[in-house]
Amino acid sequence: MTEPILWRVRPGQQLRHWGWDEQCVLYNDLSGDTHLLDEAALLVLLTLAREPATDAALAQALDLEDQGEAGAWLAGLLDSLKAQHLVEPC
Amino acid sequence: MAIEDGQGAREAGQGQPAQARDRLDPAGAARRRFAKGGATGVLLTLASQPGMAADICASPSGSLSGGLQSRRPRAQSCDGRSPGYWKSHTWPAGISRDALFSKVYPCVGRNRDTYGKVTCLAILSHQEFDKGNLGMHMMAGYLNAADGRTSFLTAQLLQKIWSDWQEKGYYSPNPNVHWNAADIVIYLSGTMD
Repeated sequence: MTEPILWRVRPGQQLRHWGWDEQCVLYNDLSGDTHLLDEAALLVLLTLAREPATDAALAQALDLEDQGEAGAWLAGLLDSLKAQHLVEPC
Repeated sequence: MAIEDGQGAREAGQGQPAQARDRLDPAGAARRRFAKGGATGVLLTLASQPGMAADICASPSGSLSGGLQSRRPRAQSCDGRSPGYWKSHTWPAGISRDALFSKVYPCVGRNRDTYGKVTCLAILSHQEFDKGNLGMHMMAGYLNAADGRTSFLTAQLLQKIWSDWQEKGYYSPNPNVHWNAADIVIYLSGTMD
C-alpha cells in the first residue's frame, strides 16, 4: 500500500495574490509566471501554507469529501499546482 | 484591494469583515465552491518569458469542466503559429488547403454564404466578411491543434467555440464570462507566435 503524499507549498513561494469575486491572480516566485486561479485553488494553497497536509487532511480542512468526484478533483488540482511549481510532495 | 501574501493571509482571519473572513477561511468555502460545480483550479497562466508577448498556454477555463481527468497534468505543447505562417508552410496531413472552411467549421445561417464559400487557405487572408479576423484565427488555431502545437486546445474545443459563437454570438469559457468574436481572437492570438 502506498504512503499518502504529504503536500506543501514550495519553499520560496510567497503566494502574493490579488483577488476579486471568486478568482485571483497569483504571482509565482519560482517561475515568474502569473496564474489566474479560482477561489478553490487559492484556498488549497493558503491551507498548505499553514502546514503540509495529505490529500485526505487537505480535503478535511477544506470540508470536502476525500473520495469520489471531490477527491479526484482535489488530486487533479494538486497535480496541476505541482506542475506549476507551486506545491510539492515533502 | 491590496495585494496579499501567504503570510498576511495566515495572520488575517479574525476581526475581518464577514466577506473577507469567508475568503480567508478555507473551511466550507472550497466545498461550496466545488458544490456549485465551478471549481476548476488553475484557469490560465501568463508565462513570463523574455522577448515573448503574453503566452496563453491553457484552454478556456470552461472547457475544463467537461471532465475532472482533464486536471491531470500532461506533457503540454504551446507552440502555435500565426495565420501568416500557415499561408506559406506545409500543413498537417489530412487538411487540404483547397477544402472549404465549412468542412472544418460547419457554417449555418448567414455564414453559409460567407465563411461557407471560402477555402481553408483563403480564410487565412483577410476577408471582408471576416470581421475581426475570427475565421482567420480559428483556421490557424485548427492547424496548430492538428499539428500538435497546442495540446491544451484541441480541434474539438475549437469547433465548439466556433459552434457556440455562430449560434449565440459568444463563447462562454465559464458560466460567468461571454467571449465575443474579438475576445476569442485575443485568446487565440495568445496561443500563437
